[in-house]
Amino acid sequence: MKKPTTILLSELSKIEFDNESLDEMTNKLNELETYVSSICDVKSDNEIYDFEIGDIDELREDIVKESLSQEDALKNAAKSKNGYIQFPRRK
Amino acid sequence: MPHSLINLATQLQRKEISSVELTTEYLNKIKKQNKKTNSYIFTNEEVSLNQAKKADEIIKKGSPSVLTGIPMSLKDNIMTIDMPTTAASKMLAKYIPSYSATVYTKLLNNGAVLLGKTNLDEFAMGSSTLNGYFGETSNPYDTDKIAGGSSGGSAASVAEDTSIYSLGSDTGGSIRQPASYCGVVGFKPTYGAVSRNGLIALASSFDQIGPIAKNVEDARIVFNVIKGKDEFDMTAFEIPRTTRQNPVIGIDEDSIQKIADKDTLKVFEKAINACKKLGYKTVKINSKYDDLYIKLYFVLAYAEMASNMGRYTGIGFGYHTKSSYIDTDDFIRKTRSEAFGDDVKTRVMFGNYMLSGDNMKKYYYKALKIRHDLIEDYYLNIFNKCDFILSPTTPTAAPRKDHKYSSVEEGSLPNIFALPANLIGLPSITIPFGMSSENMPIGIMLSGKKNFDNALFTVAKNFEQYSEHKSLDIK
Repeated sequence: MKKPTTILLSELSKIEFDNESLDEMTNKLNELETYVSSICDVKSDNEIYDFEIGDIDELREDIVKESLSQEDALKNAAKSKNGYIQFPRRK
Repeated sequence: MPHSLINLATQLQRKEISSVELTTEYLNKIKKQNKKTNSYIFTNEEVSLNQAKKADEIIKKGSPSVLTGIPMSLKDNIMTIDMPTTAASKMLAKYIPSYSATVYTKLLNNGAVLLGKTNLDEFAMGSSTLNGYFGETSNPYDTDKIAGGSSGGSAASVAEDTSIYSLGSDTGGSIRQPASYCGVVGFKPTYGAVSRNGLIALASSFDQIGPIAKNVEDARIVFNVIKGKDEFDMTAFEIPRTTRQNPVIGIDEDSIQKIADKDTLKVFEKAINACKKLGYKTVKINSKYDDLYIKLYFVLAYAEMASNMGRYTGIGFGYHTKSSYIDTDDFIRKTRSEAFGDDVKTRVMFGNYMLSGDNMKKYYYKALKIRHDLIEDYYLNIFNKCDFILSPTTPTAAPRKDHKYSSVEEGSLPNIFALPANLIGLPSITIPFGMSSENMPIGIMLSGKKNFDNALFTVAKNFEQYSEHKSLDIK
Protein backbone atom coordinates (compact mmCIF):
# COMPACT_ATOMS: atom_id res chain seq x y z
CA MET A 1 0.00 0.00 0.00
CA LYS A 2 1.33 3.42 -0.96
CA LYS A 3 0.70 6.98 0.13
CA PRO A 4 -1.85 7.80 -2.65
CA THR A 5 -4.09 4.98 -1.32
CA THR A 6 -3.86 6.47 2.18
CA ILE A 7 -4.91 9.83 0.73
CA LEU A 8 -7.94 8.19 -0.94
CA LEU A 9 -8.82 6.42 2.30
CA SER A 10 -8.56 9.64 4.29
CA GLU A 11 -11.05 11.22 1.83
CA LEU A 12 -13.37 8.25 2.25
CA SER A 13 -13.02 8.29 6.06
CA LYS A 14 -13.40 12.07 6.18
CA ILE A 15 -10.28 12.44 8.30
CA GLU A 16 -7.46 14.75 7.22
CA PHE A 17 -3.75 14.25 7.91
CA ASP A 18 -0.73 16.44 7.39
CA ASN A 19 2.06 15.12 5.21
CA GLU A 20 4.05 13.59 8.06
CA SER A 21 0.97 11.91 9.57
CA LEU A 22 0.09 10.49 6.16
CA ASP A 23 3.44 8.72 6.06
CA GLU A 24 2.93 7.39 9.58
CA MET A 25 -0.59 6.21 8.74
CA THR A 26 0.64 4.50 5.55
CA ASN A 27 3.19 2.59 7.65
CA LYS A 28 0.57 1.61 10.23
CA LEU A 29 -1.87 0.41 7.58
CA ASN A 30 0.87 -1.56 5.86
CA GLU A 31 1.83 -3.21 9.14
CA LEU A 32 -1.81 -4.14 9.80
CA GLU A 33 -2.39 -5.43 6.27
CA THR A 34 0.78 -7.53 6.37
CA TYR A 35 -0.39 -8.97 9.68
CA VAL A 36 -3.89 -9.99 8.51
CA SER A 37 -2.87 -11.03 4.98
CA SER A 38 -2.33 -14.70 5.91
CA ILE A 39 -6.11 -15.16 6.25
CA CYS A 40 -6.13 -15.26 2.45
CA ASP A 41 -4.26 -18.60 2.65
CA VAL A 42 -6.79 -20.20 4.97
CA LYS A 43 -8.92 -22.73 3.10
CA SER A 44 -12.63 -22.15 3.59
CA ASP A 45 -15.51 -23.64 1.62
CA ASN A 46 -18.10 -22.24 3.97
CA GLU A 47 -20.76 -19.70 3.20
CA ILE A 48 -20.34 -16.14 4.46
CA TYR A 49 -21.44 -16.07 8.06
CA ASP A 50 -24.65 -14.21 8.62
CA PHE A 51 -25.03 -13.58 12.34
CA GLU A 52 -27.99 -15.36 13.83
CA ILE A 53 -30.48 -13.17 15.59
CA GLY A 54 -33.14 -14.19 18.05
CA ASP A 55 -36.86 -14.53 17.22
CA ILE A 56 -36.59 -12.99 13.75
CA ASP A 57 -40.01 -14.44 12.78
CA GLU A 58 -41.66 -12.52 15.53
CA LEU A 59 -41.91 -9.04 14.08
CA ARG A 60 -43.50 -6.44 16.28
CA GLU A 61 -46.70 -4.76 15.20
CA ASP A 62 -46.34 -1.38 13.59
CA ILE A 63 -48.02 0.73 16.24
CA VAL A 64 -47.48 4.46 16.37
CA LYS A 65 -46.10 5.42 19.76
CA GLU A 66 -44.86 8.57 21.37
CA SER A 67 -41.21 9.03 20.48
CA LEU A 68 -38.53 11.57 21.32
CA SER A 69 -39.79 15.13 21.45
CA GLN A 70 -38.45 17.52 18.82
CA GLU A 71 -36.77 19.44 21.63
CA ASP A 72 -34.95 16.32 22.92
CA ALA A 73 -33.93 15.27 19.42
CA LEU A 74 -32.39 18.68 18.77
CA LYS A 75 -30.77 19.31 22.14
CA ASN A 76 -27.30 18.12 21.07
CA ALA A 77 -27.31 19.73 17.62
CA ALA A 78 -24.73 22.43 16.96
CA LYS A 79 -27.54 24.78 15.90
CA SER A 80 -31.28 24.45 15.30
CA LYS A 81 -34.02 26.67 13.95
CA ASN A 82 -37.81 26.18 13.65
CA GLY A 83 -37.49 22.57 14.79
CA TYR A 84 -34.80 21.67 12.27
CA ILE A 85 -31.08 21.04 12.63
CA GLN A 86 -29.37 24.10 11.23
CA PHE A 87 -26.13 23.42 9.46
CA PRO A 88 -23.41 25.62 10.93
CA ARG A 89 -23.02 28.68 8.71
CA ARG A 90 -20.07 28.75 6.34
CA LYS A 91 -17.34 31.06 7.61
CA MET B 1 -13.26 -7.48 52.80
CA PRO B 2 -15.02 -5.21 50.28
CA HIS B 3 -18.79 -4.89 50.44
CA SER B 4 -20.69 -7.46 48.43
CA LEU B 5 -24.08 -6.82 46.87
CA ILE B 6 -25.87 -9.52 48.86
CA ASN B 7 -24.52 -8.31 52.25
CA LEU B 8 -25.46 -4.71 51.55
CA ALA B 9 -28.91 -5.62 50.23
CA THR B 10 -29.54 -7.49 53.49
CA GLN B 11 -28.38 -4.50 55.57
CA LEU B 12 -30.52 -2.11 53.53
CA GLN B 13 -33.62 -4.24 53.80
CA ARG B 14 -33.13 -4.71 57.55
CA LYS B 15 -32.82 -0.90 57.67
CA GLU B 16 -29.44 -1.16 59.40
CA ILE B 17 -28.22 1.40 56.87
CA SER B 18 -30.04 3.68 54.43
CA SER B 19 -29.28 4.03 50.73
CA VAL B 20 -28.62 7.76 51.24
CA GLU B 21 -25.97 6.93 53.89
CA LEU B 22 -24.43 4.25 51.72
CA THR B 23 -24.43 6.44 48.60
CA THR B 24 -22.87 9.35 50.53
CA GLU B 25 -20.14 7.01 51.82
CA TYR B 26 -19.37 5.87 48.26
CA LEU B 27 -19.43 9.38 46.78
CA ASN B 28 -16.89 10.45 49.42
CA LYS B 29 -14.76 7.41 48.68
CA ILE B 30 -14.79 8.25 44.96
CA LYS B 31 -13.57 11.81 45.69
CA LYS B 32 -10.59 10.39 47.57
CA GLN B 33 -9.77 7.38 45.41
CA ASN B 34 -10.33 8.98 41.98
CA LYS B 35 -7.21 11.11 42.47
CA LYS B 36 -5.22 7.86 42.53
CA THR B 37 -6.90 5.75 39.85
CA ASN B 38 -9.17 8.06 37.77
CA SER B 39 -11.78 5.30 37.48
CA TYR B 40 -14.59 7.81 37.06
CA ILE B 41 -15.05 10.40 34.31
CA PHE B 42 -18.16 11.94 35.83
CA THR B 43 -20.22 11.89 39.02
CA ASN B 44 -23.33 13.88 39.94
CA GLU B 45 -24.12 13.86 43.67
CA GLU B 46 -27.57 15.35 43.17
CA VAL B 47 -28.67 12.64 40.73
CA SER B 48 -27.18 9.85 42.89
CA LEU B 49 -28.69 11.10 46.15
CA ASN B 50 -32.13 11.61 44.57
CA GLN B 51 -32.04 8.01 43.34
CA ALA B 52 -30.93 6.90 46.82
CA LYS B 53 -33.83 8.77 48.43
CA LYS B 54 -36.27 7.05 46.05
CA ALA B 55 -34.67 3.69 46.92
CA ASP B 56 -35.12 4.36 50.64
CA GLU B 57 -38.81 5.08 49.99
CA ILE B 58 -39.19 1.77 48.14
CA ILE B 59 -37.49 -0.06 51.02
CA LYS B 60 -39.74 1.73 53.51
CA LYS B 61 -42.81 0.61 51.56
CA GLY B 62 -41.46 -2.95 51.76
CA SER B 63 -41.21 -3.66 48.03
CA PRO B 64 -37.48 -3.63 47.21
CA SER B 65 -35.56 -5.82 44.79
CA VAL B 66 -32.09 -7.05 45.69
CA LEU B 67 -30.58 -4.11 43.74
CA THR B 68 -32.68 -1.42 45.47
CA GLY B 69 -30.48 1.24 47.02
CA ILE B 70 -27.20 -0.38 45.92
CA PRO B 71 -24.71 2.14 44.46
CA MET B 72 -23.20 1.14 41.12
CA SER B 73 -21.34 2.60 38.15
CA LEU B 74 -21.71 2.40 34.37
CA LYS B 75 -19.05 2.44 31.67
CA ASP B 76 -19.29 5.78 29.92
CA ASN B 77 -20.41 4.29 26.61
CA ILE B 78 -23.77 3.30 28.15
CA MET B 79 -26.28 6.08 27.60
CA THR B 80 -27.76 7.83 30.62
CA ILE B 81 -30.32 10.60 30.26
CA ASP B 82 -29.32 12.22 33.56
CA MET B 83 -25.52 12.17 33.24
CA PRO B 84 -23.26 12.88 30.24
CA THR B 85 -22.16 9.96 28.06
CA THR B 86 -18.80 10.72 26.48
CA ALA B 87 -17.31 7.37 25.35
CA ALA B 88 -14.10 9.02 26.62
CA SER B 89 -13.93 11.00 23.37
CA LYS B 90 -13.58 14.69 22.64
CA MET B 91 -16.28 13.99 20.04
CA LEU B 92 -18.89 13.41 22.78
CA ALA B 93 -17.26 15.34 25.64
CA LYS B 94 -20.41 17.38 26.27
CA TYR B 95 -23.02 14.92 25.03
CA ILE B 96 -26.11 14.32 27.18
CA PRO B 97 -28.24 11.57 25.61
CA SER B 98 -31.90 12.04 24.78
CA TYR B 99 -32.72 8.57 26.09
CA SER B 100 -31.23 5.98 28.42
CA ALA B 101 -29.87 2.55 27.52
CA THR B 102 -32.30 -0.30 28.19
CA VAL B 103 -29.89 -1.76 30.80
CA TYR B 104 -29.88 1.52 32.75
CA THR B 105 -33.68 1.73 32.64
CA LYS B 106 -33.89 -1.85 33.93
CA LEU B 107 -31.49 -1.10 36.78
CA LEU B 108 -33.41 2.06 37.73
CA ASN B 109 -36.68 0.10 37.67
CA ASN B 110 -35.04 -2.11 40.28
CA GLY B 111 -34.11 0.86 42.47
CA ALA B 112 -30.39 0.98 41.58
CA VAL B 113 -28.34 4.09 42.38
CA LEU B 114 -25.94 5.41 39.74
CA LEU B 115 -22.77 6.85 41.30
CA GLY B 116 -21.17 7.92 38.03
CA LYS B 117 -19.74 7.06 34.66
CA THR B 118 -16.47 5.15 34.42
CA ASN B 119 -13.46 5.64 32.20
CA LEU B 120 -12.63 3.65 29.06
CA ASP B 121 -10.45 3.72 25.99
CA GLU B 122 -11.87 6.17 23.47
CA PHE B 123 -15.06 4.62 22.01
CA ALA B 124 -13.97 1.37 23.74
CA MET B 125 -11.16 0.98 21.18
CA GLY B 126 -8.30 -0.39 23.24
CA SER B 127 -7.20 -2.74 25.98
CA SER B 128 -5.54 -0.42 28.48
CA THR B 129 -7.77 2.56 29.43
CA LEU B 130 -4.74 4.74 28.74
CA ASN B 131 -5.97 6.47 25.59
CA GLY B 132 -9.24 8.19 26.52
CA TYR B 133 -9.85 11.94 26.33
CA PHE B 134 -10.21 12.15 30.12
CA GLY B 135 -6.86 10.61 31.03
CA GLU B 136 -5.57 7.22 32.12
CA THR B 137 -7.11 4.85 34.64
CA SER B 138 -4.61 3.12 36.94
CA ASN B 139 -4.80 -0.35 38.41
CA PRO B 140 -5.87 -0.06 42.09
CA TYR B 141 -3.38 -2.84 43.02
CA ASP B 142 -0.44 -0.89 41.61
CA THR B 143 -0.99 2.52 40.03
CA ASP B 144 2.09 2.06 37.78
CA LYS B 145 0.21 -0.75 36.05
CA ILE B 146 -2.69 -0.65 33.63
CA ALA B 147 -6.25 -1.40 34.69
CA GLY B 148 -6.80 -3.08 31.31
CA GLY B 149 -9.57 -2.15 28.97
CA SER B 150 -11.60 -1.01 27.50
CA SER B 151 -13.82 -1.30 30.62
CA GLY B 152 -10.85 -0.34 32.82
CA GLY B 153 -12.71 2.30 34.85
CA SER B 154 -15.53 -0.13 35.64
CA ALA B 155 -13.16 -2.92 36.70
CA ALA B 156 -11.01 -0.55 38.79
CA SER B 157 -14.08 0.97 40.49
CA VAL B 158 -15.28 -2.45 41.63
CA ALA B 159 -11.79 -3.55 42.72
CA GLU B 160 -11.19 -0.39 44.79
CA ASP B 161 -14.77 -0.58 46.13
CA THR B 162 -15.91 2.76 44.78
CA SER B 163 -18.90 0.90 43.34
CA ILE B 164 -20.58 -2.32 44.38
CA TYR B 165 -20.88 -3.45 40.78
CA SER B 166 -20.55 -1.93 37.33
CA LEU B 167 -21.64 -2.60 33.77
CA GLY B 168 -19.03 -2.78 31.05
CA SER B 169 -19.09 -3.77 27.39
CA ASP B 170 -17.12 -6.58 25.77
CA THR B 171 -16.26 -6.54 22.05
CA GLY B 172 -12.97 -8.46 22.13
CA GLY B 173 -12.40 -9.12 25.84
CA SER B 174 -13.15 -5.62 27.13
CA ILE B 175 -15.00 -6.80 30.25
CA ARG B 176 -12.98 -9.91 31.07
CA GLN B 177 -9.43 -8.64 30.49
CA PRO B 178 -9.68 -5.56 32.79
CA ALA B 179 -11.69 -7.58 35.34
CA SER B 180 -8.86 -10.11 35.41
CA TYR B 181 -6.15 -7.43 35.71
CA CYS B 182 -8.06 -5.75 38.58
CA GLY B 183 -8.99 -8.94 40.44
CA VAL B 184 -12.77 -8.90 40.03
CA VAL B 185 -15.42 -11.03 38.30
CA GLY B 186 -16.39 -10.02 34.75
CA PHE B 187 -19.08 -11.68 32.64
CA LYS B 188 -19.69 -11.45 28.89
CA PRO B 189 -23.16 -12.86 28.17
CA THR B 190 -24.25 -14.86 25.12
CA TYR B 191 -24.56 -12.49 22.15
CA GLY B 192 -28.13 -11.18 22.28
CA ALA B 193 -28.80 -12.11 25.92
CA VAL B 194 -28.61 -8.43 26.92
CA SER B 195 -30.03 -5.53 24.90
CA ARG B 196 -27.49 -3.23 23.24
CA ASN B 197 -30.04 -0.42 22.91
CA GLY B 198 -28.28 2.70 24.16
CA LEU B 199 -24.78 1.22 24.04
CA ILE B 200 -22.56 3.43 21.87
CA ALA B 201 -21.87 0.96 19.09
CA LEU B 202 -18.32 -0.24 18.42
CA ALA B 203 -18.57 -3.49 16.43
CA SER B 204 -22.21 -4.47 16.45
CA SER B 205 -21.88 -8.21 15.78
CA PHE B 206 -19.40 -8.51 18.68
CA ASP B 207 -20.58 -6.01 21.35
CA GLN B 208 -22.27 -7.22 24.55
CA ILE B 209 -22.99 -5.43 27.82
CA GLY B 210 -22.24 -7.40 30.98
CA PRO B 211 -21.66 -7.08 34.74
CA ILE B 212 -18.39 -6.57 36.59
CA ALA B 213 -18.75 -7.53 40.25
CA LYS B 214 -16.94 -8.61 43.40
CA ASN B 215 -18.03 -12.23 43.15
CA VAL B 216 -19.85 -14.63 40.83
CA GLU B 217 -23.16 -14.46 42.69
CA ASP B 218 -23.27 -10.65 42.50
CA ALA B 219 -22.58 -10.82 38.74
CA ARG B 220 -25.33 -13.42 38.32
CA ILE B 221 -27.85 -11.23 40.18
CA VAL B 222 -27.07 -8.19 38.01
CA PHE B 223 -27.15 -10.24 34.80
CA ASN B 224 -30.60 -11.60 35.67
CA VAL B 225 -31.90 -8.03 35.95
CA ILE B 226 -30.38 -6.66 32.72
CA LYS B 227 -30.93 -9.67 30.43
CA GLY B 228 -33.88 -10.26 28.14
CA LYS B 229 -35.76 -9.34 25.01
CA ASP B 230 -36.07 -5.69 24.06
CA GLU B 231 -38.24 -4.08 21.41
CA PHE B 232 -35.40 -1.63 20.70
CA ASP B 233 -32.79 -4.30 19.88
CA MET B 234 -33.87 -6.97 17.40
CA THR B 235 -30.87 -9.16 18.31
CA ALA B 236 -31.93 -9.33 21.97
CA PHE B 237 -33.79 -12.44 23.07
CA GLU B 238 -34.77 -14.34 26.21
CA ILE B 239 -32.14 -17.00 26.94
CA PRO B 240 -33.47 -20.31 28.26
CA ARG B 241 -32.68 -21.53 31.79
CA THR B 242 -29.87 -24.05 31.62
CA THR B 243 -28.19 -26.44 34.02
CA ARG B 244 -25.43 -28.97 33.51
CA GLN B 245 -24.94 -31.90 35.87
CA ASN B 246 -21.42 -33.35 36.03
CA PRO B 247 -19.95 -30.87 33.57
CA VAL B 248 -16.97 -31.82 31.43
CA ILE B 249 -14.25 -29.18 31.24
CA GLY B 250 -12.17 -28.80 28.07
CA ILE B 251 -8.62 -27.52 28.40
CA ASP B 252 -6.16 -26.70 25.62
CA GLU B 253 -3.12 -27.14 27.84
CA ASP B 254 -0.55 -27.30 25.02
CA SER B 255 -1.50 -23.88 23.60
CA ILE B 256 -1.83 -22.34 27.05
CA GLN B 257 1.66 -23.58 28.06
CA LYS B 258 3.11 -21.81 25.01
CA ILE B 259 1.34 -18.48 25.55
CA ALA B 260 0.99 -17.88 29.31
CA ASP B 261 3.82 -16.80 31.63
CA LYS B 262 5.06 -18.70 34.70
CA ASP B 263 2.90 -16.90 37.29
CA THR B 264 -0.22 -17.40 35.20
CA LEU B 265 0.53 -21.09 34.64
CA LYS B 266 1.02 -21.54 38.39
CA VAL B 267 -2.42 -20.09 39.11
CA PHE B 268 -3.93 -22.01 36.20
CA GLU B 269 -2.53 -25.26 37.62
CA LYS B 270 -4.60 -24.57 40.75
CA ALA B 271 -7.70 -24.17 38.58
CA ILE B 272 -7.01 -27.57 37.02
CA ASN B 273 -6.66 -29.01 40.53
CA ALA B 274 -9.98 -27.38 41.41
CA CYS B 275 -11.59 -29.45 38.62
CA LYS B 276 -10.40 -32.60 40.39
CA LYS B 277 -11.63 -31.40 43.78
CA LEU B 278 -15.02 -30.61 42.25
CA GLY B 279 -15.15 -34.02 40.59
CA TYR B 280 -15.30 -32.45 37.12
CA LYS B 281 -13.95 -34.57 34.29
CA THR B 282 -11.39 -32.78 32.13
CA VAL B 283 -10.65 -33.45 28.46
CA LYS B 284 -7.97 -32.23 26.13
CA ILE B 285 -9.21 -29.93 23.39
CA ASN B 286 -7.62 -27.98 20.59
CA SER B 287 -8.98 -24.44 20.89
CA LYS B 288 -6.46 -23.15 18.37
CA TYR B 289 -5.40 -20.17 20.47
CA ASP B 290 -3.43 -18.85 17.56
CA ASP B 291 -3.41 -15.41 16.09
CA LEU B 292 -6.02 -16.30 13.44
CA TYR B 293 -8.60 -15.08 15.97
CA ILE B 294 -6.85 -11.76 16.26
CA LYS B 295 -6.56 -11.40 12.48
CA LEU B 296 -10.27 -12.10 12.02
CA TYR B 297 -11.05 -9.55 14.71
CA PHE B 298 -8.89 -6.92 13.02
CA VAL B 299 -10.66 -7.38 9.69
CA LEU B 300 -14.26 -7.81 10.85
CA ALA B 301 -14.44 -5.66 13.97
CA TYR B 302 -12.44 -2.77 12.47
CA ALA B 303 -14.74 -2.80 9.41
CA GLU B 304 -17.76 -2.57 11.71
CA MET B 305 -16.05 0.15 13.75
CA ALA B 306 -15.41 2.23 10.62
CA SER B 307 -19.09 2.00 9.70
CA ASN B 308 -20.28 2.82 13.21
CA MET B 309 -17.99 5.85 13.43
CA GLY B 310 -19.56 7.24 10.25
CA ARG B 311 -22.34 8.87 12.28
CA TYR B 312 -19.99 11.35 13.94
CA THR B 313 -20.22 14.36 11.65
CA GLY B 314 -20.67 17.20 14.14
CA ILE B 315 -24.02 18.17 12.65
CA GLY B 316 -26.75 16.47 14.69
CA PHE B 317 -24.78 16.05 17.90
CA GLY B 318 -21.29 15.99 19.34
CA TYR B 319 -18.21 18.14 18.81
CA HIS B 320 -18.14 20.45 15.79
CA THR B 321 -15.18 22.33 14.40
CA LYS B 322 -14.71 26.00 15.16
CA SER B 323 -12.34 26.37 12.17
CA SER B 324 -13.39 27.89 8.87
CA TYR B 325 -14.52 25.45 6.18
CA ILE B 326 -15.44 25.54 2.52
CA ASP B 327 -18.29 23.03 2.26
CA THR B 328 -20.14 20.28 4.16
CA ASP B 329 -17.45 17.66 3.54
CA ASP B 330 -14.78 20.04 4.77
CA PHE B 331 -16.80 20.77 7.92
CA ILE B 332 -17.18 17.03 8.65
CA ARG B 333 -13.51 16.33 7.85
CA LYS B 334 -12.30 19.07 10.18
CA THR B 335 -14.70 18.01 12.94
CA ARG B 336 -13.59 14.36 12.81
CA SER B 337 -9.90 15.20 12.48
CA GLU B 338 -9.99 17.49 15.52
CA ALA B 339 -12.13 15.23 17.72
CA PHE B 340 -10.98 11.63 17.09
CA GLY B 341 -7.88 10.33 18.84
CA ASP B 342 -5.08 8.49 16.99
CA ASP B 343 -6.32 4.97 17.74
CA VAL B 344 -9.82 5.78 16.48
CA LYS B 345 -8.40 7.31 13.29
CA THR B 346 -6.24 4.21 12.63
CA ARG B 347 -9.15 1.82 13.14
CA VAL B 348 -11.50 3.86 10.95
CA MET B 349 -8.88 4.06 8.19
CA PHE B 350 -8.04 0.33 8.35
CA GLY B 351 -11.72 -0.68 8.59
CA ASN B 352 -12.55 1.35 5.51
CA TYR B 353 -9.51 -0.12 3.73
CA MET B 354 -10.81 -3.64 4.45
CA LEU B 355 -14.18 -2.69 2.94
CA SER B 356 -12.81 -0.91 -0.14
CA GLY B 357 -12.63 -2.24 -3.72
CA ASP B 358 -11.09 -5.70 -4.09
CA ASN B 359 -10.30 -5.88 -0.37
CA MET B 360 -13.98 -6.47 0.37
CA LYS B 361 -13.75 -9.91 -1.26
CA LYS B 362 -10.10 -10.56 -0.44
CA TYR B 363 -10.28 -9.82 3.28
CA TYR B 364 -13.75 -8.99 4.58
CA TYR B 365 -15.78 -11.77 2.90
CA LYS B 366 -12.95 -14.21 3.53
CA ALA B 367 -12.94 -13.33 7.23
CA LEU B 368 -16.72 -13.82 7.39
CA LYS B 369 -16.29 -17.31 5.92
CA ILE B 370 -13.56 -18.21 8.39
CA ARG B 371 -15.72 -16.92 11.23
CA HIS B 372 -18.34 -19.42 10.07
CA ASP B 373 -15.70 -22.21 10.04
CA LEU B 374 -14.65 -21.28 13.53
CA ILE B 375 -18.20 -21.48 14.87
CA GLU B 376 -18.72 -24.88 13.23
CA ASP B 377 -15.39 -26.08 14.56
CA TYR B 378 -16.28 -25.09 18.13
CA TYR B 379 -19.59 -26.91 18.01
CA LEU B 380 -18.44 -29.99 16.03
CA ASN B 381 -15.02 -30.53 17.57
CA ILE B 382 -14.96 -28.85 20.97
CA PHE B 383 -18.46 -28.69 22.45
CA ASN B 384 -19.07 -32.31 21.42
CA LYS B 385 -16.32 -33.26 23.89
CA CYS B 386 -16.89 -30.79 26.71
CA ASP B 387 -19.48 -28.44 28.22
CA PHE B 388 -17.17 -25.61 29.27
CA ILE B 389 -13.73 -24.40 28.24
CA LEU B 390 -11.21 -23.45 30.93
CA SER B 391 -8.22 -21.17 30.29
CA PRO B 392 -6.39 -18.31 31.93
CA THR B 393 -8.14 -15.01 31.13
CA THR B 394 -4.92 -13.32 30.00
CA PRO B 395 -1.42 -14.68 29.38
CA THR B 396 0.09 -12.42 32.09
CA ALA B 397 -0.97 -10.22 35.00
CA ALA B 398 -1.46 -6.47 34.28
CA PRO B 399 1.64 -4.98 32.60
CA ARG B 400 3.22 -1.66 33.49
CA LYS B 401 1.77 1.44 31.83
CA ASP B 402 5.07 2.10 30.03
CA HIS B 403 5.30 -1.42 28.63
CA LYS B 404 5.78 -1.23 24.85
CA TYR B 405 4.70 -4.05 22.55
CA SER B 406 7.09 -4.78 19.71
CA SER B 407 4.49 -5.73 17.09
CA VAL B 408 0.78 -5.70 16.28
CA GLU B 409 0.70 -9.42 17.09
CA GLU B 410 2.33 -9.05 20.51
CA GLY B 411 0.07 -6.11 21.37
CA SER B 412 -3.00 -8.27 20.80
CA LEU B 413 -1.90 -11.24 22.91
CA PRO B 414 -3.59 -10.03 26.14
CA ASN B 415 -6.96 -10.78 24.50
CA ILE B 416 -6.05 -14.06 22.78
CA PHE B 417 -8.01 -16.28 25.20
CA ALA B 418 -10.99 -13.92 25.33
CA LEU B 419 -11.56 -13.32 21.60
CA PRO B 420 -13.19 -16.64 20.56
CA ALA B 421 -16.22 -15.90 22.78
CA ASN B 422 -16.80 -12.65 20.88
CA LEU B 423 -16.30 -14.17 17.44
CA ILE B 424 -18.67 -17.04 18.26
CA GLY B 425 -21.11 -15.22 20.56
CA LEU B 426 -20.46 -17.45 23.62
CA PRO B 427 -21.01 -16.61 27.30
CA SER B 428 -17.70 -16.26 29.14
CA ILE B 429 -16.69 -15.32 32.67
CA THR B 430 -13.44 -14.42 34.41
CA ILE B 431 -12.90 -15.22 38.09
CA PRO B 432 -9.96 -13.84 40.12
CA PHE B 433 -8.10 -16.98 41.13
CA GLY B 434 -4.64 -16.11 42.46
CA MET B 435 -1.82 -13.60 42.69
CA SER B 436 1.37 -13.11 40.68
CA SER B 437 4.86 -12.93 42.20
CA GLU B 438 4.40 -9.12 42.12
CA ASN B 439 1.13 -9.47 44.02
CA MET B 440 -1.07 -8.64 41.04
CA PRO B 441 -4.34 -10.50 40.40
CA ILE B 442 -4.54 -13.37 37.90
CA GLY B 443 -7.87 -14.61 36.59
CA ILE B 444 -9.16 -17.81 35.06
CA MET B 445 -11.83 -17.87 32.36
CA LEU B 446 -14.69 -20.28 31.72
CA SER B 447 -16.68 -20.17 28.48
CA GLY B 448 -19.79 -22.17 27.60
CA LYS B 449 -22.09 -22.91 24.70
CA LYS B 450 -24.43 -20.19 23.48
CA ASN B 451 -27.39 -19.77 25.90
CA PHE B 452 -25.64 -21.67 28.71
CA ASP B 453 -25.16 -18.50 30.77
CA ASN B 454 -26.98 -19.84 33.85
CA ALA B 455 -25.11 -23.13 33.84
CA LEU B 456 -21.85 -21.21 33.42
CA PHE B 457 -22.59 -19.14 36.55
CA THR B 458 -23.17 -22.34 38.57
CA VAL B 459 -19.87 -23.88 37.46
CA ALA B 460 -17.99 -20.58 37.96
CA LYS B 461 -19.35 -20.31 41.50
CA ASN B 462 -18.05 -23.78 42.26
CA PHE B 463 -14.57 -22.84 41.00
CA GLU B 464 -14.66 -19.60 42.98
CA GLN B 465 -14.52 -21.41 46.33
CA TYR B 466 -10.97 -22.58 45.48
CA SER B 467 -9.74 -19.09 44.58
CA GLU B 468 -6.63 -17.81 46.36
CA HIS B 469 -7.20 -14.23 45.22
CA LYS B 470 -6.53 -11.44 47.74
CA SER B 471 -9.04 -8.56 47.57
CA LEU B 472 -8.01 -4.99 48.19
CA ASP B 473 -9.20 -3.32 51.37
CA ILE B 474 -9.29 0.42 50.67
CA LYS B 475 -10.92 2.42 53.46
